[in-house]
Amino acid sequence: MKLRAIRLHNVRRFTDRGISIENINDGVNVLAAANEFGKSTIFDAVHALFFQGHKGRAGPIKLLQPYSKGPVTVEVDIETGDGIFRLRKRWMSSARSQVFDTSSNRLVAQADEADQWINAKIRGGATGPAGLLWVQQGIVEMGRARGAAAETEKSAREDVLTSVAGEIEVLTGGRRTTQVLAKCQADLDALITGTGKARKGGAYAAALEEFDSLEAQAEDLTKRVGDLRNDLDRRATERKRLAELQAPEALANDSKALEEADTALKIAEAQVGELDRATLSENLARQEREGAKEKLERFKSARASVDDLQKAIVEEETAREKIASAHTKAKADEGKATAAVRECRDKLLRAEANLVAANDALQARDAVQRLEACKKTFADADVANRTAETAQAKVNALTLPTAKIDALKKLDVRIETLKAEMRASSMSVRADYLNPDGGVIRANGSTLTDGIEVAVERATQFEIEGIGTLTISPGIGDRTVDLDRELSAISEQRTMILSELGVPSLAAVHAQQVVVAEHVGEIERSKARRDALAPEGLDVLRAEVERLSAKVIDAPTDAKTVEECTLQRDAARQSRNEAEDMAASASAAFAERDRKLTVAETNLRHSKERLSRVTAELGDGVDLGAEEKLLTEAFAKKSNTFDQAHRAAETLRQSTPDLANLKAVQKRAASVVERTREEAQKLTGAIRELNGSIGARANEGIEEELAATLGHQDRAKQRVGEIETEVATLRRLYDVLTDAKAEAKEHFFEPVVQELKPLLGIVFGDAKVTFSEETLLPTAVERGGDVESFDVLSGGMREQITVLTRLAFARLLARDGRTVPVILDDALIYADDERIERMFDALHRQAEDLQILVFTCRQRAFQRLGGQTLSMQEWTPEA
Amino acid sequence: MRGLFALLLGVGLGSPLRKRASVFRFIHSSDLHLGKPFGQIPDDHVRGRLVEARFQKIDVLLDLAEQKGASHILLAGDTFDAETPSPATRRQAVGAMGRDQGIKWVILPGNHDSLAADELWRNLSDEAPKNVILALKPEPIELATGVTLLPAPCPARRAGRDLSAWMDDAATPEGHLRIGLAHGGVRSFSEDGAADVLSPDRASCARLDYLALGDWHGQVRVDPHTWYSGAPEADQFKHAKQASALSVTIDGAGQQPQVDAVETGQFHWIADTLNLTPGADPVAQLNDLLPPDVERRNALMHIALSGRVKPADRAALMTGLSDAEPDFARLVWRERDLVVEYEVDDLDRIDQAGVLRSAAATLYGQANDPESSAEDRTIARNALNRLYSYAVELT
Repeated sequence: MKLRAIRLHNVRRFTDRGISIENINDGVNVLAAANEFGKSTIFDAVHALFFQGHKGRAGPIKLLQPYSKGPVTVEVDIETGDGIFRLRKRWMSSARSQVFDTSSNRLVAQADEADQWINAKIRGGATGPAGLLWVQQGIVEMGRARGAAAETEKSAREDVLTSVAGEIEVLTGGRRTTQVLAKCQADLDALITGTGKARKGGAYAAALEEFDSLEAQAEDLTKRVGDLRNDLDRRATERKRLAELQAPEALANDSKALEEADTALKIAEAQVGELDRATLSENLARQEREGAKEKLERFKSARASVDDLQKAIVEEETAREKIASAHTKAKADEGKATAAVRECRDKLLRAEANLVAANDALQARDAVQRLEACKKTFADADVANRTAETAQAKVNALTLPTAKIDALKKLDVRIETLKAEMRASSMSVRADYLNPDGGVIRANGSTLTDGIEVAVERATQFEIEGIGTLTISPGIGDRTVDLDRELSAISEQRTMILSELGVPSLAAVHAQQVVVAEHVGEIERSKARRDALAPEGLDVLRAEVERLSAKVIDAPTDAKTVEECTLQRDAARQSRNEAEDMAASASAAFAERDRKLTVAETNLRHSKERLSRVTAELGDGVDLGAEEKLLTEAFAKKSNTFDQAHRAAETLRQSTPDLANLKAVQKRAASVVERTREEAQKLTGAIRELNGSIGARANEGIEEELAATLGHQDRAKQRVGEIETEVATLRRLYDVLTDAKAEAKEHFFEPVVQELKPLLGIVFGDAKVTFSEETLLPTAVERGGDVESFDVLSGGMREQITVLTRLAFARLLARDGRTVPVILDDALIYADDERIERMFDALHRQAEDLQILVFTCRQRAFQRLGGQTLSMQEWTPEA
Repeated sequence: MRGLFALLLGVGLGSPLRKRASVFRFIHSSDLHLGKPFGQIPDDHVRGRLVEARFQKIDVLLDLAEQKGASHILLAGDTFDAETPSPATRRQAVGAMGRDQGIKWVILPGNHDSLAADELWRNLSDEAPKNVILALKPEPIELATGVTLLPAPCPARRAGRDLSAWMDDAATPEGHLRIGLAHGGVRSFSEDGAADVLSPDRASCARLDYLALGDWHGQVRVDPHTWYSGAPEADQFKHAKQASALSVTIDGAGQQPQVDAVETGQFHWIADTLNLTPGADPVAQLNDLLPPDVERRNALMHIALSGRVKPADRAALMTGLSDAEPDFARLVWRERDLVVEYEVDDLDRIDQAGVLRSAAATLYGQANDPESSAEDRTIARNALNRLYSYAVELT
């Protein structure tokens, strides 16, 4: 968006008249006029058009009115990508807002819609900071604060740092945001600590404490009220129960039941006494009857025993006699058997001695045979040993040194080699007989074989049958001389070795070695035979011969054969075993007879003793039949007495009641009366106690107190809830503000710094401005290695940095597609001539893609700024 | 003077010569809840006034009886708020009732002061003046010549049965007025309370000329012979009408009673809704809703704010409410259903750009995010309101 014209009517000093600035171009536009000419009025009017709704009447609008009041009209032509539009606002009477398309003079929007249309243009989006560039320099602190700030405009205008602060603050929220954040934080801190706990002494902590206290109080009161109600209920229940217990009819019934039970029990106890006595008589009669019966039966039994015992004694005596006879015979048999055993044992001893002697004789005979064999073996072995020794002596004598034999062999080989070489170096002849029937050729008497070469080492005469002789004489060469010389030397060595060995030739050596080998074989065979005959050596064999020779000397000469003695010994042993078996049988038989005799004698003695006892019991001389009759009669009498007593007792038993039942009835009736009395007594005590307790508490009004406390508790709970909502609200606000602030820093700060760098270069050369990361304000300037705090910079420099910062913002916005005019109202008032020229350069640099309006009272200084010069004309608004 | 009234009307003196009542007038009230502490009211002074107002109802009812020429005041239960009221509550109550011995009070145990509270009733038996009748048993009481009262005292907090059932078979002399006195609901509001419900046809079934009921704090006519008097002093926002007592006149047995409601309440418990619309002046709407200044001292008012407002209007409304608050015994409002609508202008008032504007936009988005929970939206909305307040304060 770019401004093309500004018109205003009835604004401040332009009372009831209008002025206009037309034909505003791109780039730098300068309106230079003296003070009090109305530049600031123009600025404020334009600002109001863009930032104040047409219905506004207070504040900024009132400030635009002249003393004579009346409606204020401001009109601006702007150019956007959609064309050129005329914005018109009129405040106070007949307020209106209008937007026209100048190409067609069409009304695009009016009233609120026109305000919204303008807002959309200047804002460039919800977060666009375009408006800040319109803000009059020096009074941008906290955005649109105008009242007090306007009064101190002059001093504020001098404070260029504030202006820069304003720029950044509007972008990032700056001090206003800080104030809101601080307020939010303060409100939050009043409630909670940094860790989110309720702050001690704060409203939240107090509400929580109050709630906790009331809760505890309510809990205590609830318990006390509950206890009281329980006691009231309990007392009512106990009173009701006491009334039931103490009802006269119930008491009378219980008493009557007890009396009846007592009476019945007394009667029954008397009957039981009589029954006890009858039962005693019955028991006595029963005991007497049983005594008589036992006595009679015992007599009868004894009487029967006497007869039985007498018969048994007779039988037992007879049996004893028989057993005694057998006992005697068995004893004799045992003696015989024992003697036979002794005899057999003696025979066995003798037979065993004979066997030992026979064995000794046998061994002696065996030793003689073994001695002969052993002697023969020893003799053979000794012969073999001597043969081996003889052969060894021969071997020792005939064996030739191996080294000399080897040397001799080598010499022979060499001689043969030399001879072969000599033959090779000599002439040879070969006869090829073409006619089988023809003659032959002979040399030295031997016919030359067909096709075979024959060496001619010396002059030889060949006889050719049918022809004559042919003599061939081979010459002697150097090689033949050498070979012959070596052959002679070697032959001398050979002759010398043969002489040392004492043999004529190598063949003789071989023959002697064959003889030695035969002797060696003889040695091995003799030793093998000797070792076979005497594996443990000749000395051991010789010792054995000596040992056997000694045995032959001790051997008996007249001993029986071992077989005979063995047979005799076995027969004797058999006899002894049989005799021992017989003796054992006889002994066992005797023992059995002895045992039976003892038993028989014992039985007989017992029978006699029992007979003696029974007879004594029955009494000597007593009439057993009469005695049995007396005893029978006594038993009958006692039986009768018992029957009478039993019948009497039974009669009483039938008529006597169950005393236990009656006692139980009486006990129950008595316990009912007693329990009633005890319970009534207990209830009375408990009720008395409850009366005291309830009476005391009922007058405390604790239910009213509980109801009040519960009400207070509800209220406290509600209060806690309200504060927690407040905490959540403040936390949310704080978090959102913090996030937004961080985002704003990231979004604006760094790009502005980058945009500012080249501008600083133009004006200050190598100057570098440092910004506070926290406040986003310039904090220091570095020039030529010196760092100066922004606060100590000259007013001019701070002003220039402020202007450059604003230009950087504008450029940034322009690059973002939100081009807005930059209006510098009386800026650069402290700049010297040199610095202002550089500032002009910077302005022109930025003006390449910006529209910059400069209002200044320094007409001469700003003449060098260049750009288009603006002028004001009279203007009359449309009706 | 009161005795003269009674003599002229021929009731209350038990004249042996006249066995049939010609005209019988009495005051029917209930649920005084003497001693109720109103703990949920934060202001001690207001709380004291509310407690005191209930006590003053004894004098008010006495004055009403005198004014209407009634010989009896029937209290249909819950005279006391607790089973064990403080001695002061108890004694001051019966002391006030004894001020005019010519007018008889009949006190029926209700569920709050049931017979289970025997300490209370034992003390009252000892302390009550002669003109106070304690109806502690379900048996006929001859109130006056030719007038028999059939009371149904509550034996416990929850009796578990229709206590008025005995009235059907209660014998009364021929020609006597039969007046029932009971405490409890004629319909149940809970699943397990059905057994306690009084039969709504009891007056008909028991041939009652009038059945005086208590328990419901609002006044209700069940049928021409059956009435809930309601509490003489309101204690909650539940009932719209001003608290009152019933002046009852019965011309004779079988006649339809004449029942007149007479306002007795001192405090107005007003619950209302203020539905706001954008553009309308919220303060003006509020002023239209609020009662006249003269009534505000005795008014407890709860306003449920609803509708939609712009933040500036909300701020103005809050200011209006805060300004009005001191006029009232208690003025509370609820914003739960009030939607604050933020438009661009409103967000501009926070800031036109920068961090504050960005934060406002974020909160606005959160407050209107349908995917967020209602609680989260509420917090965001509150935070936005707070940001608006801070920003406006700093402007």
